[in-house]
Amino acid sequence: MKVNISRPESWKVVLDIELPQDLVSQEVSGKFSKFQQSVSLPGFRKGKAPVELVKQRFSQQAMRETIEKLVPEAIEKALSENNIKAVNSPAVYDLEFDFEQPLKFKTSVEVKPKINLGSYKRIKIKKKIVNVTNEEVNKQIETLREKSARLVLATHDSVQESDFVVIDYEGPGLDATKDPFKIEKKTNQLIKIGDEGAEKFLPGFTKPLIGAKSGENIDVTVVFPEDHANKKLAAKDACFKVTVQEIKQKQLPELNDDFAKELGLDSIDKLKERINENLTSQQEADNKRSMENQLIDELIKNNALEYPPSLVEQEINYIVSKTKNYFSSQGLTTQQMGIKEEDLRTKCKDDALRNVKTHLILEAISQKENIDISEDEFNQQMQDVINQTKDSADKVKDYFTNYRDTIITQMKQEKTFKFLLDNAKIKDVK
Amino acid sequence: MQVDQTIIKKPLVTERSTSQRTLENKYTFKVARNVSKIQIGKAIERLFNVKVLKVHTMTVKGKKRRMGRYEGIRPDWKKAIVTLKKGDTIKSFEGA
Repeated sequence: MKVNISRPESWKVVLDIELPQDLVSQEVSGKFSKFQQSVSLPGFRKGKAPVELVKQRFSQQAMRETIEKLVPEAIEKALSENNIKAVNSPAVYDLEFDFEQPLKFKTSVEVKPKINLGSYKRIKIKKKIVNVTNEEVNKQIETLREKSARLVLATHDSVQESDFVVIDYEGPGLDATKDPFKIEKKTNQLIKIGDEGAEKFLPGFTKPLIGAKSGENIDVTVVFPEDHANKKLAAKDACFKVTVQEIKQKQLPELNDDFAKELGLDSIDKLKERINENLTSQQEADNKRSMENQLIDELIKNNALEYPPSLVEQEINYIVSKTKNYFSSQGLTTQQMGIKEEDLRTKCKDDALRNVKTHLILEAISQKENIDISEDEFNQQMQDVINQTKDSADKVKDYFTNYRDTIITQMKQEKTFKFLLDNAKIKDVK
Repeated sequence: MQVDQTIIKKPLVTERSTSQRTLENKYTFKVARNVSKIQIGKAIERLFNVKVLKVHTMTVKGKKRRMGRYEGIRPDWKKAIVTLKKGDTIKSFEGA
């Protein structure tokens, strides 16, 4: 096998491969004898057809199959012999094939470019000092209270803004599929005064109830806007006979140890502590991300590099599929969202490019600095994950063996980041 | 008068004919039904530029075929086995 390597771009390798005639004719005759064994031509029993006839009938197929077998094999061999790591699947062109001739073809693959690293040590980055204020903690607590609020009977006796009311009413059923003005009676409906959802469905339905006392009957007239979604209702009006049954208001739980206990903690101080911890770790995580981003920005600025387009393409595919997965996990499809796939692709192009550049630079740095992941570290990581997740240890182990390369790359990146941070000039800012 | 091309309809390539061709230099054809051995021999000589030694012919009975409840019969046809002079070949025969 003769291989001629040229490198027209830093990320592109072209291989000029010539396979010897022996190999080709051996493969071809193998194919023919296989066909002769297996085909039945008219006038002949299976396997009895003369070789010449088979050759004539099946030369195209034999040629195709020979190429399909020999070319990928040759490419793989050529790549591994010359230690070329392709990042995309090789493209084959200029193929010359004749049964009694050497097989010649060219193939081009994209590879990771060699990077001439610029400066990557002593990068100036800003670190925000982690500081959780009391205000932030209190705000969190307020949200928690809001979440565990209960509805209780109101202390006042007439309906006020932002109260809840339980009502019975008689009025049009508003069933879009049937006659919307068929009168229906409903009881014990809970509605919030001024609630946005209710306002959208029945504009101006809740406001007239303000001031009503419990047990009072009120007629409410609703005028539907002209652009209402249901055409049968647009610009019509409807009258509802409403009886207010109960007036309720939201009661926030009191801020005491009982409230903390409800959330599974001993006392209010403990709760504050816990919130403080959470906020701190959250800010730290934010901080780490922002520092990493600053690092990446600097690295990309300092290291001009050429990148193989197929890597960016792969990254875009990855991001797009991730986004789609996210949507479908929310029960949505991109069509429903009115997002076109092309738009999504152009949108995430910059991100993809940035990711690719980051990967390439970090890899180059880790190579130069001999940052590597030892077997022990790998096992440690696996153990950590086993301890953290609910999945069974076997499942995690399977995952780690199946995706070993990916995980090691990730860990290496993590480690390189750490190395860069250790070597960076960090300035604390508020 | 029939022209040579209508006398000789097509070569017959089967296991049997192939082995007779390679071992005994006998070539088999499907021919028109109303022609004589002499006509066949001459036609072969003219068409393929070879020397014919012997011609054997036979009438092959058509097979019965049935389409549902209707029974039919395929037409009979004539087969000719032509022995050529040693060394003469018909090129177009190899591979129908």
